Amino acid sequence: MSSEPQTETQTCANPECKVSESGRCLEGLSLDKCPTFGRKPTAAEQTVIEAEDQPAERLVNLRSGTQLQIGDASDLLGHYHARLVAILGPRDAGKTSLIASVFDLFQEGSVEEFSFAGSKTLHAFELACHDSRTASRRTVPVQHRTGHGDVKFYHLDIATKSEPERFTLLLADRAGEDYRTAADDLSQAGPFPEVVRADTVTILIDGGRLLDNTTRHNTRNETKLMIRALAEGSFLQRTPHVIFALTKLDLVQTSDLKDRVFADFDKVVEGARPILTPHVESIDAIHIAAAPSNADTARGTGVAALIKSWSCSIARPTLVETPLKPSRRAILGLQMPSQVAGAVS
Amino acid sequence: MSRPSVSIVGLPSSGKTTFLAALWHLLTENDIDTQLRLKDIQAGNNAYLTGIANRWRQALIQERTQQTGNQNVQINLTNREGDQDLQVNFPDVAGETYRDMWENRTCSPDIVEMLCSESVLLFVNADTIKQPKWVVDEVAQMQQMGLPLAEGEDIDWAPHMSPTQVQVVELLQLLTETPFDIGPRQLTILLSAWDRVAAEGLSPSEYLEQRLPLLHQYILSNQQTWTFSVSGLSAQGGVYDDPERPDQATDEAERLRESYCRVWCLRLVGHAAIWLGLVVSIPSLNVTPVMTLAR
Repeated sequence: MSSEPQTETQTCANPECKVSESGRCLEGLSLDKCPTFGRKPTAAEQTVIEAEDQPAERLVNLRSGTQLQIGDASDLLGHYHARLVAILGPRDAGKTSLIASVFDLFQEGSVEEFSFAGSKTLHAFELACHDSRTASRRTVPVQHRTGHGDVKFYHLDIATKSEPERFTLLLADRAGEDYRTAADDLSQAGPFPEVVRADTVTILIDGGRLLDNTTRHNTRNETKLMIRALAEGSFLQRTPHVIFALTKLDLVQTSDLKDRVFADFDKVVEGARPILTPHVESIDAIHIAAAPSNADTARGTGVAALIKSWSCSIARPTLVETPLKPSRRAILGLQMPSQVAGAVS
Repeated sequence: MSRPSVSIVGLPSSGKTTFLAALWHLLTENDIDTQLRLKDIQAGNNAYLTGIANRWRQALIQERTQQTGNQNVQINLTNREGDQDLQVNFPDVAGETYRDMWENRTCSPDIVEMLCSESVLLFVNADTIKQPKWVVDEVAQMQQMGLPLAEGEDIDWAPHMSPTQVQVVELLQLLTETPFDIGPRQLTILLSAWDRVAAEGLSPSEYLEQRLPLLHQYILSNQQTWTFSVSGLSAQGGVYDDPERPDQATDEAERLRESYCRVWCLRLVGHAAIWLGLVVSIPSLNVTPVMTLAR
């Protein structure tokens, strides 16, 4: 009696298994031990197999909502009403607090004459705001630091009651350490395109550090060096507005040393005027408490004044027509007969 | 026949399906005088509409649209005189779809098509608005009350933590961009569960301004893109029973089952949709006048 090969038993409920071809269990088990050998998939297993066989649905990717890269920011700057704001300051001076505060103020309503009109970076703003919100489960508001790397931008469209046209703010975000490099060694400084292109350069001076005797003098010195770097490093080619902002006003106001801090701040600003004036449109000074650590100071104190300053456009000189240089290509250098001196008509 | 379509937009549990259920009941029951009436039932997908209207009449919470699948509902309507017909498409898209658009920044091609309508009904549940809250305010409040601060582990940010108004503004912004951009649109903001907040004594426009100020600023600043109105809506009339939790049946739901129509009619405020330049109130029974934001 001949024995027919038992092909009907060479099946496996695991669709990946090639036992019918190789005679070996995919899992390396002996066939009598394999739980899926010798049977067809159950209805439940079949459903899973079919689901896995379905091609994954192609999804449409939407705008990310995160910070803008320099190329995206450049596109927006082509808009007539866009303003680029470079915010300079050492680590922990309050850059992220300030940026988050600008957005958070609009969460509670219009900010004086300004209203929120849109943003392409809502995820980025929400991330920046998170550590001062209760959802973070913190008991003290903190702000995350900007990491090293290329400059990125927060975007905000703002409508005003007085102007029919709204304007766009692009707030440049770069690690404070990167700017400090410029003060330490101009030859090693990055190109900082956001500073070169800025309509407004906002220089933050940390009120908390001016309160502290151990950091006070270094803070003043660092700021002075940064100012010199701006002036001498050709960063202010567009004659921007410059705003000095004394941050952490809530800490300063409640200190016995507040008069000393205000005097230090004023001294820095007055010292900067002769250096910066030839290179800038205007110089202003503002005190702010973007994210106070207590409820005694209103959140965003001074920020409305800052937005107002940022909203100002730079008065551009009248365009002067530059004469075209003769082309190096001979054919383009040819003149029409009527243009040749003494041509006879 | 005109065939306008209306995109129904809203985060999960914002009342989109409940509104459709109440609307279908109103059109099929025909016991209340409405400006628009059901012309016929030939448009299709009536089984879905009948199903959700049945649950609504039983004062049962609707199944999540995520479970039933996105539905493209069509309704054939006619005016009181019967001489002007229109077919309205209401894509009933799961709120999770909009949540994905905010959180994961993706959307399926089918949804893109459904959201390219000239009219948008934006649902916001007025009773579950997630407001931004700040640490310093909470700490000050706890200290005033003499309560200890809750010590816990810090939590990293995730998109779902964002306030309702931020998520809703982003949805509207996305609808003005590729691949949804079709130019200027009509926008009706429906503050659902209005019966739950009506006691505050604010009009819908005041409620929007005070409880959703970012959204309020956004639409006021973008009137070239959005022609808008805002209304309060209570298509449910109270708290419904969850069929998956029969042990938690409430007296309120039982009362609603006894007199669903009366309760609903009394509590419905505002109008629903505008399209084709015709102001169409669905339903336009004994409602308060249309409330429009001051411009």
